[in-house]
Amino acid sequence: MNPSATRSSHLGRRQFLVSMALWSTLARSSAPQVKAVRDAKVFFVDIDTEGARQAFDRYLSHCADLLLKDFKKQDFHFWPIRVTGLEESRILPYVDGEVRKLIQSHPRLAIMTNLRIARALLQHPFDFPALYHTSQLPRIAEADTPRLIGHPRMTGFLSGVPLHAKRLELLRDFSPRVRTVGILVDSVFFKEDEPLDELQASAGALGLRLSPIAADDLPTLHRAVANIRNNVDAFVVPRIRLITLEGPAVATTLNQTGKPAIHSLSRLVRNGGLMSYEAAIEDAVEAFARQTVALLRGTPVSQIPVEYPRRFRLSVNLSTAKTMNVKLPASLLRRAELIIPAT
Amino acid sequence: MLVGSVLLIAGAVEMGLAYRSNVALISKLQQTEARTAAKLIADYLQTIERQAQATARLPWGDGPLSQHERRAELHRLLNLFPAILEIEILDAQGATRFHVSRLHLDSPQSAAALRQAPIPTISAGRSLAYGPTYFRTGSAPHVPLAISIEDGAAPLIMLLQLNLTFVADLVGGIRIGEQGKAFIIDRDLNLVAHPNLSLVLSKPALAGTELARLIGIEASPDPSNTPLTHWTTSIEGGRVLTSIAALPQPGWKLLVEQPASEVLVPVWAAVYRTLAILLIGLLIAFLASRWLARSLTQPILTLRDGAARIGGGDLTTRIELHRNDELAALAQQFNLMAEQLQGYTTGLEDKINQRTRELVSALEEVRARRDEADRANAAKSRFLATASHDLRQPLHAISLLVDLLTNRLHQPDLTLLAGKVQLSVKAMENLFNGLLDISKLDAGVVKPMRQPVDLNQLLSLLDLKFSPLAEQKGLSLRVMPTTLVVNSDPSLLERIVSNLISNAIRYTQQGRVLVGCRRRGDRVELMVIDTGIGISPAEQEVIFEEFYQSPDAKRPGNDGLGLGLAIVQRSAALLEHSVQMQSRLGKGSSFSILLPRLPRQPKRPAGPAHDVGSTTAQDNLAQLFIAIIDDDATNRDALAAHCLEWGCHIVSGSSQADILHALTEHLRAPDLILTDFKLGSAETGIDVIRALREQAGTTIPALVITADFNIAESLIQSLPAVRLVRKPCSAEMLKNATRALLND
Repeated sequence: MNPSATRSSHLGRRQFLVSMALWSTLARSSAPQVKAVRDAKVFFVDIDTEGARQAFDRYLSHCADLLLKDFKKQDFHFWPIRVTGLEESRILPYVDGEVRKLIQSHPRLAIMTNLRIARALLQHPFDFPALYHTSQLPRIAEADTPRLIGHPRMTGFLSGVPLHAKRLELLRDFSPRVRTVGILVDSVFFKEDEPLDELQASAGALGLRLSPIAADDLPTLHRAVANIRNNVDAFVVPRIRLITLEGPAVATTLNQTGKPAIHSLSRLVRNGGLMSYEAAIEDAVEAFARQTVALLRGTPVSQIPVEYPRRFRLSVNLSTAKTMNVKLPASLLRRAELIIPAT
Repeated sequence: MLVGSVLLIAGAVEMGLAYRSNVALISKLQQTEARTAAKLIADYLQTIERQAQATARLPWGDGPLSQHERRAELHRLLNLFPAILEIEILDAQGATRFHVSRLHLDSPQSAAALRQAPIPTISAGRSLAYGPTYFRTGSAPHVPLAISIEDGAAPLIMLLQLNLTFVADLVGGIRIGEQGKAFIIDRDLNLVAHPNLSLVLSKPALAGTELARLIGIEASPDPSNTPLTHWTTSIEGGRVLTSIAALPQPGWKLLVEQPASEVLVPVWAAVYRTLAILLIGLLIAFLASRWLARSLTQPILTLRDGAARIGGGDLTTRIELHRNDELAALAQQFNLMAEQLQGYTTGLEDKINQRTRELVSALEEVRARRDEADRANAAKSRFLATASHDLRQPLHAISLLVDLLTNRLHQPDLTLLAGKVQLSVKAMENLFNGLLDISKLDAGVVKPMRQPVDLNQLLSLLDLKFSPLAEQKGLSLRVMPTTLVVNSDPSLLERIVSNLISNAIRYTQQGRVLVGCRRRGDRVELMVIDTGIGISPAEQEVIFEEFYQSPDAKRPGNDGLGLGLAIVQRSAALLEHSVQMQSRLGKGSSFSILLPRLPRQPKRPAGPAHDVGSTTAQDNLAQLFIAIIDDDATNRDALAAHCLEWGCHIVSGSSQADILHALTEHLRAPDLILTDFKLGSAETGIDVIRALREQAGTTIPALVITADFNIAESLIQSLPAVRLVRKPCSAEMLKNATRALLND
């Protein structure tokens, strides 16, 4: 530990020498935080995608803002989980191996941005604090991974908000003629999303009917979309596994039907999707940064509450609308926070 | 020291003033920042309020707007303010007429079920009201805002749910110094907005904390009496300087805090500045004091050293002070004084040297005279020693031989002639002894050897010595027995008393002579009293002079020389004994000597009682076997002849070896040893006595006969059964001494 280094960063070395003698109490109270920050080695564990690396960059930017002169970029590392192209049966063992390596690296803090990665960590004993993120509804996440909520060494961000009903409402606002809405489902991981029966009730309240579309992978989606194209008026796209892996392709596939589709990630709207309604993922990155700083400065995990999203954003892509030859109503455009203009 | 103290006090005062002024300045600044931050938050809320009120002025009752348009207006409001989570339009009965939400369906039917806080009551005369803050399930703190809608006869209420995390964003954007922050606490002491959202979400309990007390003070009726800022403990820990500003509409308090370390930075700067000035001041004061001290003390030290050298005798010293002040004048006076002292000292030294030379010369002369006197004294001592020994020897032999001759003559005419010779020898002995004794006393060669003296023993011997003479004159000599012991030289004391008794007998024609002792305090008075012719007062003044004799005593047959009392006086003076005399002409005289008394000594083991007048077994000396040792053949033969006259058997020799050899022809050890003290070479009679006793294995009584007056009595008394007889002695004296020895 070298308390003078940090103290001098605040007050200057000359001031520090005197303040040590005259204000030793204050100096002692600051020392543990300094130690925690200087020993930091933080791993941001996420699926190796461009979006994840962008999120890591934003995370670093927030940490730098909060830590100021205590921020050392070399303390922060992106730990990529490369699952693209892996067979389904090999994904979990691979993630487990990466988590083992992570534990052996003795990090000061780990950020598990994916529920599956967080679950892998829970399979092993670890003695460092960790942050997690899941887009599952809290009640579903708690039921699915009982040890996640209230874990003594884990806290994080629960971005799971039941917004499919709101997305159905937006599709109806898009066109009153929408009656049947196809919703993409993952036969393996569908249980992680909002229960379909609850969605059916909301759809009924809006005068809509839901039609599940298998989307375990792109071929399956292609086949399903080909089969049901004439029977649905619009699509709702949850954050299923295929979106994580092949989001832009999914958006393209759905756009090719000429039917409006509403996504769960504005990232897909930037990549060609027509529109999206989501809890802003930026809130999670900001929360991670705040929680990271608190943990590095010695705050116990138990004193850092789980955070939830607070901003909800409608995004539209006028270029896609133009390509699809559809017209977005003015009421939607007024509500949109992110509008990708038509080229 | 004084300057340093003043600087320290000045520094402390400046630090104190700097602390107060800086804290006051920062307090004012912080107050301004708090009010500015509060205004920012109030403006934000008022913007929402104004936009909501503008929307509320639309015809929400029956009017031209369609349902779709009204819903669009509410969505527009949502889009304007991300902090608004939901909006409801309620009628007077609380039924929801319109509802828009970011999370849920815009369904009026479900709105009431989703509502998590009561609808705020708008006071009369007011157009809006905030409800209490609450934490939505799975979310952040929110506050309900109710705005009245005046739409014809049916009043409506617009109810907005505001997400306070957006207020926290505003609060977080407020920069207070480098580390300061602003936050909001509601009227129920909930932390509703803070840059650290985790802190808000953790819902810290503020009731009872220092912050809560501070808010209570700020809410006092007379805010002017409350201080602008307060030192408190932050929610996150650590001492902070906190200012409070009110947000009247929601009833919240906006607090601005800065950590003490930041607030006190200017104070530290003042402290460092003051310390630096203080150190520099102290250094300057130190150097100045050193310079002043040196400039003041150096000439004084020079003066002191110069005075010390002059005082130490170095009068050539001159004090050099190149100044033009009082110290230089003082140095000049010192130099003048040293110069004068040097002059005086030089003259004095010359006089001392002259006197010293004279003194040395006188001392040398005195020393030469003393050496001459010493040489003369030594010659005198040698003469006396020689006379004492060498003259006594033949006289002793003559005395013994005349006695022997007298005893062997049977013709009356020869016997008469021998008697006259014997008297002449006797007179010569007395004269000789007297002369030698007075000479020795005058020469100071006699050294008194003080020791306890048993007066009874001494007087008994004298009784034995003088009784025959007294009887011869028909006088009664009475010696009173005594038990007193005195401290004196036994030989000299014997001579004194012997002379006194001799004089008493000599000058008494009839009557008696009495000798006795009595105590006089710590002294003993020994008296010799006679009934003689007495001494006239005129004679009393001269009788102690040498060779003085009473005219009445100068008649034929009186053999005195007039030396007896002179010897008495000199011996008594040597022993420090006082001699007194009382006499009446024709009646008699009394001489007394005062002697220092000693405690009585334990009595000797019982032996044969000494009775001067009795005849003991040893009175008859016949048949004694006597060893005679003398290196002088004449003396040895005279002694041997006397012993044979006494009827004794004898063996004689000139030395220890000679007598031991002679004894080998006898079968018995001698009964008595008669030996001269000086036997030639280094041998003495003591050596012979020891050798004979060792050979015999018994303590043989011994008489040591000597002409040496300096033999210590102690040497003789160190041996048991040994007595000393001084030459010259008559046969009668020898016989009496032998008897006394054998009777001891």
